[in-house]
Amino acid sequence: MTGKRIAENVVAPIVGLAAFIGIWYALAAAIGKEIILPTPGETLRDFFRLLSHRFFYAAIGRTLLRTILSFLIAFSLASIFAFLSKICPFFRKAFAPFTILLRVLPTISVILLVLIWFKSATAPFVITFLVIFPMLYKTVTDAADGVDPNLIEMGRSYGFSPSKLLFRVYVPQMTPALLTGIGITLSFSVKLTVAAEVLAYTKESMGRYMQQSAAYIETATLLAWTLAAVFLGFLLEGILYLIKRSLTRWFYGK
Amino acid sequence: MENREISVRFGDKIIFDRFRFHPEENKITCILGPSGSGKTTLLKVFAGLIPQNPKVCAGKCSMIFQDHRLLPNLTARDNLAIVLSGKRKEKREKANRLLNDMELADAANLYPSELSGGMAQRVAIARALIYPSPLLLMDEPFKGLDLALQERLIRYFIKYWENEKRTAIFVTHSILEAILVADRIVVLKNGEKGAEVVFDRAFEMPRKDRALGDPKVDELRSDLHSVLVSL
Repeated sequence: MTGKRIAENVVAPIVGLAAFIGIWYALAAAIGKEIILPTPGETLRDFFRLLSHRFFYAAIGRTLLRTILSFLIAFSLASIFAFLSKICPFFRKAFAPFTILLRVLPTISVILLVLIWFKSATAPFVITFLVIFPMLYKTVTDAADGVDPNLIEMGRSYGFSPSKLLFRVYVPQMTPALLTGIGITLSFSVKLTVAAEVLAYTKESMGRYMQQSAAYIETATLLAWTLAAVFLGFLLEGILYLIKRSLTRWFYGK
Repeated sequence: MENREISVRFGDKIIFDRFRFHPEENKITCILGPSGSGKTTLLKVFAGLIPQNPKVCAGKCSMIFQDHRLLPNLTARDNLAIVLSGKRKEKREKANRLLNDMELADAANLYPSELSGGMAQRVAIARALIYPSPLLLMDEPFKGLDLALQERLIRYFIKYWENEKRTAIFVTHSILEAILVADRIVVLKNGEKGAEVVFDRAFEMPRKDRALGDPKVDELRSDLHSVLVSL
């Protein structure tokens, strides 16, 4: 790695993070009240305290499970509906009002309605699914529409079967756009699930513990849970980055 | 291949109206004509990309396009292997053999983004030649390449086509390309009721003897030029 690349890829993020922590520390010191804004040290102290409790891992596990499960179901259904839309223009037109409605529906209305209709344990899962499904449907349909028609024509002229056309032409061509869309939606799903858990007061969830910390004005603990949510987001982004990197050679040939 | 009527319309525009075209078996038929005369559409009809009822060509066909249309996520070898059926190892061995024959052995493991324009087009030609089909369709395959490369690619194509002759329809805008390659030359024009054939002549001179300055070549060239400028 050259000096310039080290400066860009290693030094610059560290400087950014240090500046953020510095500003946080200065603000906390100026306010001087842990109850309003604890220092980074106080937040880390509570974070490490949480690490020693079993409920911390159980809450993260359940929140992660809800996020991944709702994401996987939403992505699978979005892919099926996008496939139907691609092969049947009538279905695409008929399905459009439904996806547009879901997309423009205020998120808070979805959350409040689902909280009335579902139990607190399932509500975060349903909310995340309903909000991200139209986003993923659009991601998949846009990715399918973006496939080079010349390559499809080539495949058809060489007598590719529908499955060969799907897996050897469509899927590799769609993968970069899909991974970008998935990255954005997955990060959003974590935020959404935690927010829904807060509002639904879901048992043994990150959202519930955050809500409890807020209720008892344990600001340092609340920030420690927030830190855990940030790490969860980083973890998912990291996994996605590894998938993206391994697929890059497959798609781009580099 | 059946000598069936072809009818194609794009909106109000008639491209073919009960048009009949029958390429000679195991010969190369070159099609010339101005833009919009239906040359590429005719190839797409034969490839089954523009459906006709009944089908004009019931069997398989290989197609070489103006651009290489190689799958970007596959190596040159795998771009050849993908059009074959059978075991993966056998397909790759067959692809390797043809790439060797076409002096493309060094490109076997390269991806399309790593190939020059000329090499990518040669791989595309190899893909068409390796595909076991009785009909070869070529849509201005040497367009946009420099003259030296064009000449080399034409030489490669003729060499491998003569090894394993099959029926070929070759669309081009270049009179010289047509003269170098064709057994028969057809000129299309776009009439009021779709495409019409305005020139149709067999050219049986051995390909290796075809050169500018030869009286037969010059005569054909002059005739084609007169027809094309009058359209």
